[in-house]
Amino acid sequence: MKKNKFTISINIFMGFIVLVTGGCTSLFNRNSESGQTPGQPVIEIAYCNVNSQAELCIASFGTENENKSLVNFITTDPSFPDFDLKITRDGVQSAYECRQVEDFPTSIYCVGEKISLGETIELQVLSRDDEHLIAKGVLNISFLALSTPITDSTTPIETAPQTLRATATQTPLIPTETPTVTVGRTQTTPSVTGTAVDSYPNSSYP
Amino acid sequence: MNLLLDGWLVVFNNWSILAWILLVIFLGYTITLSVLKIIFKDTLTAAEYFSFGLAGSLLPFLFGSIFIFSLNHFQRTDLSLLIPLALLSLALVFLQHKAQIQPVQGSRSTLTVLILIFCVSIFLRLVFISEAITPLYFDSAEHYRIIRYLLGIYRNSQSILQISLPDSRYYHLGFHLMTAALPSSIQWYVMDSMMIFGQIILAMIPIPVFFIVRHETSSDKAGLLAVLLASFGWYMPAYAVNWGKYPALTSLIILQFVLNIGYAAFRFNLSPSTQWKKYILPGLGIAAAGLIHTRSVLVIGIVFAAWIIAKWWLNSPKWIQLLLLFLTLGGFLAEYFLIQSNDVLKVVFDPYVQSGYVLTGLVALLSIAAYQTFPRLTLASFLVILFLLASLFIPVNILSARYGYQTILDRPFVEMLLYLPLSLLGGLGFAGVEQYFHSTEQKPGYSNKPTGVLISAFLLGFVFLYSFTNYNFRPSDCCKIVSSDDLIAFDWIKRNLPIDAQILIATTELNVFTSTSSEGFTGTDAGIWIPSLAGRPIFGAPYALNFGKQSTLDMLCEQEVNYVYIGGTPQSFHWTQLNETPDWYKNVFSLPKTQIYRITGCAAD
Repeated sequence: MKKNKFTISINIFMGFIVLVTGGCTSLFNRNSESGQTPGQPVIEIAYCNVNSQAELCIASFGTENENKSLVNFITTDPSFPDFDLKITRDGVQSAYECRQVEDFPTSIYCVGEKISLGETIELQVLSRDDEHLIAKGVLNISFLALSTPITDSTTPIETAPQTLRATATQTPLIPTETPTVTVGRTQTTPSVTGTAVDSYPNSSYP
Repeated sequence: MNLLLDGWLVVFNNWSILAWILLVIFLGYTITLSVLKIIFKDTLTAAEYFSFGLAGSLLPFLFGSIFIFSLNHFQRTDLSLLIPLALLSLALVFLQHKAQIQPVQGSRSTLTVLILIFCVSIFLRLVFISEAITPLYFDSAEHYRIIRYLLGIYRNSQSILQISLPDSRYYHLGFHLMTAALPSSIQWYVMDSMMIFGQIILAMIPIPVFFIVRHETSSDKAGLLAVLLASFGWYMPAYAVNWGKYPALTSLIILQFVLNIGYAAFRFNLSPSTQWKKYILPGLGIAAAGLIHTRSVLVIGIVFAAWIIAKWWLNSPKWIQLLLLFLTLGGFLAEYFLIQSNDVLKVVFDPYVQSGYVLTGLVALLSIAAYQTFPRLTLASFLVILFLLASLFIPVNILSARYGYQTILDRPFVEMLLYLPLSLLGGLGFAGVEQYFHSTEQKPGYSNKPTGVLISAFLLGFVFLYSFTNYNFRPSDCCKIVSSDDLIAFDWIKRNLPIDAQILIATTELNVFTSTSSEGFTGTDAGIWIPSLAGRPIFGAPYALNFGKQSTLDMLCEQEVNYVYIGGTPQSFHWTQLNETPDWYKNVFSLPKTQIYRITGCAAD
């Protein structure tokens, strides 16, 4: 009797899991299709902040081929609708084509006319389907693809370095327990004279 | 508060993947539980069964994954995965029929607490994912590639037994097979499945510790304290997920299953008809451990040796026992100073000394009580620590010349493993203290019950509060090598660079053994993900490479490298050097944390 009860409970539990999974999947898919609708309030665009993640924010600005600008958006919603960007500078509006990064739906970037450091721009994010306004904001370009110069105590390599090579085909190049990349050597013997660096970071706990 | 919100956000965004993984684990758990019940009948408590069963829950999943990836007799579809799931369910029904379900022994509330710890751990571990764009560090890039490779095999309806593996030197594919066999992976949510599965593994790792401590001491509280210590006492083993050590972490669960079954085999006088089962289950466990992380088999050997030596030690005359004690303590001190004098190895103590000295100190104190009450297990735990540290110096070429420079165990793995004997010692010591107060109660004139209860409550409460107030559930900045800028760069590469464009990435030498020989090279920034996420070949060079030198340009031209990728870590190439030589390198993509340069200085250009 107890055995039957146990088996029945297990079956019910598994059935429940499958039902919940199925139900939630369809709900999720429906949500994915719907995304932002015209009735929803317009999002205020700002730079992304680690402590308070907005639904849509700008992570960075950059350049492509030195004559175009890149705008890097991040959203918290993987089902955020497809959109395009319009930027107004000195009263002139330009269109920027946006695309979602493949396999990373929360990363979206737009490419268009070059923007300069220090400029103040007005942004409008418009739904690609019906062109309704999803988000807007005014931003000053306070940083533009200029990372802080990295300095360390390592001595630059004087001779041709040891090199390694990996292909992009389905051939991971991994030895034994710890994945590394296969090493190929150039003709000159390497002389890496930099500071010794642990491959695993010094695990002092933050 | 943010912890809760971030946890819920991860659950909400990934609930279907989470549900699939939990379903598969639940199925494996119930199958293992049925087998254990056939063997051990009513000799274990409900909480012991839960702890033991969860340790073995990955076994059916692993062997089911191997089964589905070995077949090549039919065209696979997304639904093909239902075949092993159905087979596992059938096995479960059969085992349920065979198992004699006995009334559950022991306290129900302990089982509830254990399940609660497991569920809360899952939730807290998921917070990690809220700040991780991809699985962390360079190991993860390769694990991801292998999983994608296996999925390719699955899609092409090939068998892993008939194709050449990605690399003949990479021989343990257990974690990758399991992740690839997850229904969510089959639907191409590979990265999310890998990360969530990894976090659930972290939540599972501490639970099996309960079994040995509870069964040895008959104290539920001692078992729970050991679980708390293993969960949140030290930042290891969970911190290893920052290093992408997914196979090693997974192996800890199977390793504990083998240890539990080994312990049970010593403790129980099984009937002759069930004797064979004593060998089948550990056999399967050892095979699974080898498939997931080969070095965990060596750890099983180390524990077995420690257990045997501990028995012999305790049966020896007093003077030999004392001599062995001094030798062991001397050996430990020698190891400690040798390790401290080695730059590569000395970080092995960081989680337990620099950051975890409070709880390690507490465990050291409790060990005295543990030795008084449970000498064999206590001695065995000490010897395991001693042998684990010694294995950092024993070259593997005593077993095989193939891996000349390696030692039996590597530093990261030992660093991850030390939590296990320490948690056992903590649990045993706690039970020792409990028993001390219990025994003095029996003496006439003594009434120490309130003191005993108070000290027990204090120890449990202290470990609980100290652990939670000092624990960091978020990814460490050390190992987040991929930024959102890198993701844009990968997409840009896919759309703009020729398929055969060869991209230079920054690397450094791997350094986890005592040897001075080269251990290989690893990527030091997001460039290591290019083959997986941008589909272009990479070519590595040390991150300190001087791009201002003619010899560097000559080397890059000779190797037909077309582009240079610069990520946003301190060990990325120095982009200022490339800007200073505009005739040789032209910037084609620039975001604050990512730069791509085209090499224009070669003769062909």
